[in-house]
Amino acid sequence: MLLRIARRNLLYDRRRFAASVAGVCFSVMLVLVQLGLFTGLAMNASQVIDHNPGDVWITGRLTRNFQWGQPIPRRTLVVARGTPGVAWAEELIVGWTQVKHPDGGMQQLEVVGFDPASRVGAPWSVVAGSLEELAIPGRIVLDRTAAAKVGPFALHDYREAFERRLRVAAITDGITSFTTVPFVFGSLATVRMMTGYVGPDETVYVVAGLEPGASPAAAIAALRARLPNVDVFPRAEFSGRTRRYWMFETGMGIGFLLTSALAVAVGTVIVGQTIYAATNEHVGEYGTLKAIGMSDAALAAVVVGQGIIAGGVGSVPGSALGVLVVGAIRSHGLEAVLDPRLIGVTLLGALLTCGLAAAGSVRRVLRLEPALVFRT
Amino acid sequence: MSPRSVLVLAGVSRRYGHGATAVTAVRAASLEVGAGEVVGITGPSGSGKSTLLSVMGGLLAPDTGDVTIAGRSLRHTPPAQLARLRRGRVGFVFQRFNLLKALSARENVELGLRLAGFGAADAAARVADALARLGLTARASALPCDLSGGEQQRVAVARALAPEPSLVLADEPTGSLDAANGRAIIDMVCAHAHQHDAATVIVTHDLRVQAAVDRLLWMGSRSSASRTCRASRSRPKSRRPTSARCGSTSGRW
Repeated sequence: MLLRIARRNLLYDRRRFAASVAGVCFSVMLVLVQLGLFTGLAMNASQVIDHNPGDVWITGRLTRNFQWGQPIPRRTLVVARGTPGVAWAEELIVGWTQVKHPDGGMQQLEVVGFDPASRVGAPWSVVAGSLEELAIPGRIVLDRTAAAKVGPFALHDYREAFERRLRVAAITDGITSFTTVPFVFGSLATVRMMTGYVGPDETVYVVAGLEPGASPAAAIAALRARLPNVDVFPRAEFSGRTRRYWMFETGMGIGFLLTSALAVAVGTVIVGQTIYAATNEHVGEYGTLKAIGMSDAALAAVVVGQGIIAGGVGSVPGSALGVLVVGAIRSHGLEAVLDPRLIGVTLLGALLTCGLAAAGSVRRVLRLEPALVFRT
Repeated sequence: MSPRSVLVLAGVSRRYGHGATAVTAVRAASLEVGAGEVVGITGPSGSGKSTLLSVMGGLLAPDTGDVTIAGRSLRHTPPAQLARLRRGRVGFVFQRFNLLKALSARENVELGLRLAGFGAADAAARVADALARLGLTARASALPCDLSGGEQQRVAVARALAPEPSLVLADEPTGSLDAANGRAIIDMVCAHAHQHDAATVIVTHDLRVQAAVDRLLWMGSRSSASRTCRASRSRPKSRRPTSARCGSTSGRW
């Protein structure tokens, strides 16, 4: 009965209800798009870490993100390999280089060097060519999206960096960087040559895999004890550290969150106003309900129910629109990720927010004096 | 207090405002309304009739005195318990019907029953019965805005009476109706009182209602010295109105 009263009160003024639903729909869509972009960027920032099979990352002191690693002594690799609980360890060189555009000018690229034999740190979506060829110095892997920076290229084309010719041995698809600077993968030797600042006795990261059944905490403690001049992180921690740096410390993600907050605020105000107007219009009826014995809890449920109904009706098309827009964004090569959990949380948040938006009206109804029924 | 008294007011007073601007709406009113008795209250506008009705229904707390409904004192009763008492024992009829405009006639009547604690199936049967007796079956799905004034008031009366309350409080129930509809409403309320032993208080200026009630009380104007209810006419219980006087033109209630 309460739900029926709530629904009927809302639908009594269909135009106002439609405006409220449209407001919620727009807000939910905007929130999903912003959160999708935020999540996409955050995941993009740590994608190389997340695709790596290593359990532990050993980095230079105070390394705050994956992209800006600092050289560390290469003997770190040997020490890591000899540490109890460590099954394997490989090095990874991450840095920056300048590649000459065929039409002239230099373009910056982010380089990732790995051991082609172990494939730890190798690119994960190869669509043409072979990673085997990377064992030969001067061979690289480029992502399709790099064409915008280094000019259109095909398999076995050449590009030039540090006056050395680099042959495209494989092409990946979808390994893009949120920095808009393309990734280029190569062997450790090739990448050392391309960066120019990582010496033969240096590396940038050591990635270690733990023995099955080994305690991660114990292995990490042992690594820290043996390697006091570097930082040792579990993979998830280094991944999160990288995401936090880019999204919050640089302020890059704040804009998305602020826009989401603004969308939530707009939706809340629209629903709040609608419910308040509907409450004012039906205030005599609430007085009647109170007079004939409806409890305060039931009255509050009627008012909050209206907010939740408006939220529910607006959220469903809003979510569908959000998914469509995020899909369109992805089709244009931009990073945006919407997983079902995010949609679920947004829907739940929308319902909760719309219910809360009705709270002001609940107060008004609960303060009504039931005796007003004899004065109107 | 008579064992058959459903409503008892003992020295009830109610003031509005404070200090020099305070107005005493009801002063030391005492009244007993027995089961099956229909009491009319009349008096000039502003004499405190609606305030008295609010106090009787537990909608307004008196400043002094006490109200007892079916043996239960309302003094110091928390609002939640008052609400429970109202939905179980008190039926309200208003001058302007006070139907929920987004609900159909059927749903408005059902609302009263569901609030009174009737289950869905029982309520549905009672709603159908009530609407049939009021000649509103064909109009059951209509919204209040699509009903005439008389139809709306019949729906409002059905909402108040269908749960069979032991106390019915009506404020100018015929005030917005033409003669025929007004007569029908009076008959329904009186018939319910007599058939279900419901104590009924009707605030009215309508002479037809005044003629139909068992007892008529007069409330003086604000300037009068005494604001207490005074009986201006009373009819002995043995001379309770017959169906001809207070009967129903639309069948038994």
